[in-house]
Order: sequence, then structure tokens, then C-alpha cells
Amino acid sequence: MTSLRAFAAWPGPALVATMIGAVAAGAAAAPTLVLAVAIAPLLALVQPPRAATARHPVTLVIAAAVAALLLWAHLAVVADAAALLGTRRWHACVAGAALALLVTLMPNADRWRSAAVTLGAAALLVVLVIAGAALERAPWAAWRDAAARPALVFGGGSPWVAAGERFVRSTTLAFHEGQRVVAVTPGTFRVVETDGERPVVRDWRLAAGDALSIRPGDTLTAEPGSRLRFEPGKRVPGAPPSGAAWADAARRASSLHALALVVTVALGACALLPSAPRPVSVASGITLAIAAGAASWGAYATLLAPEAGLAGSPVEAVLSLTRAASLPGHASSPAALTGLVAVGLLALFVAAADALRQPIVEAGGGRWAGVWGAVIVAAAVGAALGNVAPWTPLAAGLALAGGAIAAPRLAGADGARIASWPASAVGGLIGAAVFVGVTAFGAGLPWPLAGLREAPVLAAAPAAWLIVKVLRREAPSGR
Amino acid sequence: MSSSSIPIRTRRCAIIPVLMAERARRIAVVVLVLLLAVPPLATALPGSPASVRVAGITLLWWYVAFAGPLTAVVVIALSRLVR
Repeated sequence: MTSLRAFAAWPGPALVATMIGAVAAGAAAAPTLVLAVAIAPLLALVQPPRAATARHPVTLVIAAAVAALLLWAHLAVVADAAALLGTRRWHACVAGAALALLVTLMPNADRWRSAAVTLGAAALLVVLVIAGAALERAPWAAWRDAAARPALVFGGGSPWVAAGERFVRSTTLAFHEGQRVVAVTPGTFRVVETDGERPVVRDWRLAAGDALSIRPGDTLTAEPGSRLRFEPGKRVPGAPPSGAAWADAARRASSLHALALVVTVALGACALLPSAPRPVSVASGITLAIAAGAASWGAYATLLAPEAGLAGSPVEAVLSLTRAASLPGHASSPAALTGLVAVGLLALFVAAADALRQPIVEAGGGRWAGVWGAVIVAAAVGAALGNVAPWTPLAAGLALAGGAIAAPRLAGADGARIASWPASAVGGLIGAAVFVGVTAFGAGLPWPLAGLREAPVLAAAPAAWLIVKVLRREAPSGR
Repeated sequence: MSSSSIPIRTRRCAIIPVLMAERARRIAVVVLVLLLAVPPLATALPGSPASVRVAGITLLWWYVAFAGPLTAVVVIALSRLVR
């Protein structure tokens, strides 16, 4: 159980939802993402043994920033789930933050971490098994059937064609087929028509029940909170045109994007997860479960709900498996499956939160409780902003962790000094500065370097590694 | 033991297992990085070998969901056996 506790930071709800959403949507980067997230814990395990985080203001600020970004992403997933289920997202943010604070500030909180990971994984596994049983298909059969569909269309039982569904964040949909959409609640929708030479932009203010005819080639932008109803049997806007295109989506992937993704995830794992002395069984189990679980869940989701992802959140794909309970001849209720998914996501969130607290305790010493409280509040405020997708803070948190924590450590910063500072603090400062600089001013970089803005870890990690490697001196022994 | 026999230490010198473990660790890192590099490389190859279907599923997804992670687990287990 101690090993499970050590790996609790990894399978957080944001990583789980992002992988499943990418597989279900047929994203080009989905295979690279799933493999990187699955193998990264093993890569972390073969790092050289590492020391505890150095007690220094710089390492404390970096640990706090990484924790705030990752918790923001995890909490945004919980808030997205709440919004899709009809609750206000800030209610979910406050409740999730309060729960995380309560659990992590309890005496011996880390003892609960293993239980939370186990509960979260078990709840999601039960939903996956029930969905497979309801569909009467093994995951590979579901994948094969999903890839064999001639077109990805709205099914008759989809909530998007029945009562209409709500958009979690601002979403632009590209229509490949003419369709009549109906506003379920009043709202403003922007349609860009590409009929002639120049695109024509029209803003439509619709009352509840008003319809809008969209032609092939048009795009429609819906604001967060607005609800629309689509026509059954019509192609899902924005989705791959067919099952074959969904299955072969990886061919569209860019090499730079794939490299950035792998480096971000791998270095992020090296920063967040423990190294050498741990037994391999837990990390191996996590690796196999993540790879098989995400691929299976994504295949079931795209078979049950090809429109999962329309709302602008990857959580829609996670929640779509609850529709399996509505299939004929099945005993369980959608509400029970939804409850299990919610419990699973919340348990993984609490476990990840407690694991992210550990570096702050090490770097902050007696001040950790105040810093930790500020981190949770910052994450909750960020997650309450509905327009930021969970992937944005998740990628930023992993990249910052990789550039400012993992890279100095891999250069041998543990136990070394640069001038009077710990080498990990100097390397971390350089890594964080490059990360912030490239993120903020990357658009102004010349052409070959402009791509770094999408992958700041590719600049931050080498900079931090080089500084530590060149300037470090072994710390004098205590004798 | 006779007085003319040569005293040979039967216990292995401690430095050898440490070096072997370090070498195994480095090999494991290289193999894991190569495993991670397979999807982007496979999709960039001419002829799209990653899109070939086996039992209805592309080779790429067999690799991502099963073969790649399983190989990684075996590599790590083997690298630990050396210690």
C-alpha cells in the first residue's frame, strides 16, 4: 500500500479524462498520449534515487505553482462533470476544494491516499465492466465495431437529440452536413457561412424553441451554458467523418507535437513520482491499467456516444458510459453509474491532491499549511473559470514540473550547490524562468523557435539541465 | 584447507552488482524511450504500417493498449532482476 500511496499523483482525474476524451474523439495525438501516460510511471521508476525537495523559497514556489496548476486541471474536470450533470460549476469547485483541504489536513492524511486511489480505480473499473456487459462486447470488439461505422451520426437515444445538452465552454462546431438545430434555452450563436468567396459572420439571438438551419461548410459557435438540440441520424459536427477515419486519426499527428507531448508527460512523471527503491509491481499495474483502461473506455464511449466531446469537455466521454445502463435488458440505472463515475473522479482527485502536498511539506517546512491552503484556493478559482479546458493547466503543470524539477534533478542537482544556493533551486529558477518566458513571449520568436510556445518544456528542460550540469559543485559534507 | 592452497574469496565483490544494476537501469531507460518513440515514428513511415489491421484493430492501437506497455513492464522487471 505504501507503493500505491507513492504513485497517487499520477492517475488524477484530468489525465484520465483527457486520455479517454482523446481516444473517443479520434484525436490525432491519442495513441501517443495514452502510451506516454501509461509508460511514464515506469520511466520515473528507473531514475537514480533522489533526495527530498530542498528547503528553499524557490523550490517552495515551484512546488506550489506545479501543485496549483495540476489541481486546477483535476478540479476543472470535477467541475465539468458537475456542469454536465446540471450543477453550477463553482459549487463543485468549492465542494472539491473543501474536501481536498479536509482530507489533506487530517493527521496521518497520507494513510488515506492508498484507499482513495483504490476506491477511484475500483469505481471506474466497475463502470467499465458494466458498460462492456451491457454492450455485450469485449473492448477489442467495441473498437472494431466503432471503426467499421460508415458515418458518426447522432443516435436516437442521445440526449443531444432528445432534450438537448449544454455546452460546458465556448465551442466552435464545423458542419459537414446540413442540419437544423434548435435552441433549448435562449442564447446567442455565431454562424460563419462559407458559401461564396468571403466568409459571412452572422450572430443569431435565439429564444427557447427557435431553430437555425446550418449548411454544409458552416461553423457554429456556442457560448458556455447554452443548450442545443440536433437532428437524429445526422453527422456529428466536428467528429471524424467515418469509423475508419476515427481509427486512423493518428496519421494526421505532427511529429513536433508528438515529441512535445512525450517529453512533457515523461518529465512531468519524473518530477512527480518516486524513483528507484520502489517495487515495480504497483507501477507495472498502473501502466497496464492506464493503457488498457483508457483504450477500452474510449472505444466504448465512441460506440455508445459518437457525439461525446461536443460539449467542449473530455468529461463528456467519461460520463457517456453511463448510457449503457439505458440499453434494453440491462438492470443497473444510469444514476447509479453516474454516481460511481463521480465517486471515482473525486477519489482520484483527493489522492492526487494529497500526493501533490508532499513536495510542499518538504520544501516549506513549518510554513507548508498556509502555502497549501493558498494552492487549493488558487486551484479552485482557476477551475471555476469555465472557459479554460483542463488540458491547459494540466500541460502547463507537467511542463513546469519537467523543466523546473525533473531536469535539474536529472543533471545531478540533489545534494549539490551553485554558489550559496542548492543547485535544485538555481536549476528550478532557470527552468521556471524559461518556461514563463517562452509561454508569454513565444509568439514573438523567429520561425524555427515559434513552435516552442506550444512546447515550452523543450526549452525549459535543456536550459535548467545545462545550468546545473555546468555550474554545480558538490556540497561540503557535514563533518 | 591445506597450508599450500590458495585462499580464494567465494563472496562476490560488492562493486560488480552495483555496476550491473546501473547498466541495467540505463538500458531500461533507453528501451523505454524507444518504446515511447514508436507511435510517432510508425505513423510517419511510408505505407502506413501502423494502420494495418489485425483482428479488426490497427497495429498501432494493439501496440498502444497492450504490446507497448507489456514490453515496458517486462523490461523493468528484467532490469530489476539484475540487482
